[in-house]
Amino acid sequence: MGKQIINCGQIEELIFSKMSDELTPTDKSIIEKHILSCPECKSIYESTRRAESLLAKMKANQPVLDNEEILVDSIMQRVSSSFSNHKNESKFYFFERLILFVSQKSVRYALTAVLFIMVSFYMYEEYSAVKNITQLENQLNNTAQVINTRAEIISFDNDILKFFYDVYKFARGNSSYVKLTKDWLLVNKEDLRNLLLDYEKLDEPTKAKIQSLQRELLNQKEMIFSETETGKVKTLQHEIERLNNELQKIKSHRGK
Amino acid sequence: MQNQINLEQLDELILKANSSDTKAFEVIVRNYHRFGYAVAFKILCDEDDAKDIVQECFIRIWKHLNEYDKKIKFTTWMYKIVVNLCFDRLKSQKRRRNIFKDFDEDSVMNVSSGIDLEKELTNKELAAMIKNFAFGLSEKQKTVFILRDMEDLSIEEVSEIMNISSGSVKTNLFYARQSIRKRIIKWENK
Repeated sequence: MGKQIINCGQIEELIFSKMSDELTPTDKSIIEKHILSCPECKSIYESTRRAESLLAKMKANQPVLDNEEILVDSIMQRVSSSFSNHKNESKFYFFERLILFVSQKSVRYALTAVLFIMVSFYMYEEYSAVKNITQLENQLNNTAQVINTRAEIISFDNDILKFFYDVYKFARGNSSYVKLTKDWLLVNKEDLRNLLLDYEKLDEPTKAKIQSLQRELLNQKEMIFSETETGKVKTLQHEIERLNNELQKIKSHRGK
Repeated sequence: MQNQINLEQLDELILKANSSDTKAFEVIVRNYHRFGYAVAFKILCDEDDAKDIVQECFIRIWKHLNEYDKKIKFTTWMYKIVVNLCFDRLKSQKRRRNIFKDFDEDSVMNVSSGIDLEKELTNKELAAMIKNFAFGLSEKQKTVFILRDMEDLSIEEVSEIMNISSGSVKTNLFYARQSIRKRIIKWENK
């Protein structure tokens, strides 16, 4: 660098870019050589050194802090109060954060949308449930009507008719009318057992006759159960009455 | 006057203060508030504002002490908070009134003309000189100059405090030094 031609601009940059204690021996040598032949740069250099010594004086004069104790006390007072506040705050920290979170506009919109969807879903579910219940109620009413019809028909039967009907169901493993006949079975369990025992004692032709009647009876019953029109039911009831009479005859024959 | 504490003691005090020990924190405050005050005063050139900044700074330190990263010096962290608070203060002052309109070049020069450098400078004189010499500098240039040349911090520390690169610190420092020295020369020749 010593052999390079240094102009005033470069010297000025060197002087201003570094404090005197930051200048390297090479820097100092370049400056000193240059200012020997350049009074303008010499003036800048000397002024800069004087400015530096003035800055050093300023640096040595730290600002005076009056009422230091008051300042420290004030800080500590605020620290203590913020500490107690912080302790109280911490109890509600979660809720405060939650409120802050919820109070955000985007979160509010999102929550409203979710709430709306949930309410809509709930209302739809309710509507579907009510609809289903209504359907079920209608079905139940219809079934109740059918059951009443059945009960009417069954009450028309005597014990023997019921017995054969249940025997038939038992034989077929058909339990579709169990609900209707369960109570009856429980009440008449003993009688049924006796009837069954009696039935086993019958001779084969009688058994065959009973089975034939039984089949005919069941066919008629099934027709009744599938019918709701009173007129047809009545016709069938007459048919049952006829069959019933037949059974009475068999019963009396068995008694003999 | 509180005795100066060493780094080991400071670590212990920070640990205790982190466990809400206000007494330990008070020792930290007593040891470091003057450093914060000096920097704040030089940036803001106002005693009351500087005191406010020191208060705010220590409240912030108390609240965020658990976030303190031991990798950086405590004073560096403290200066960083002070400088940020000062910048915020300057911004709000600028919003309220254009402070630079209150001081044109000549009035600033006149304020500091009767200062006797042989005597101890009062706060007012020191503030007037800083205002005078740093006249026309940006906040960044002025702060870089204060931290590096008046508080003797390293380029790396200034870079960390100001959150700018070392290169940027050097560039800002160059312009600040050039401008300040020119203004000092001008002031001396007046």
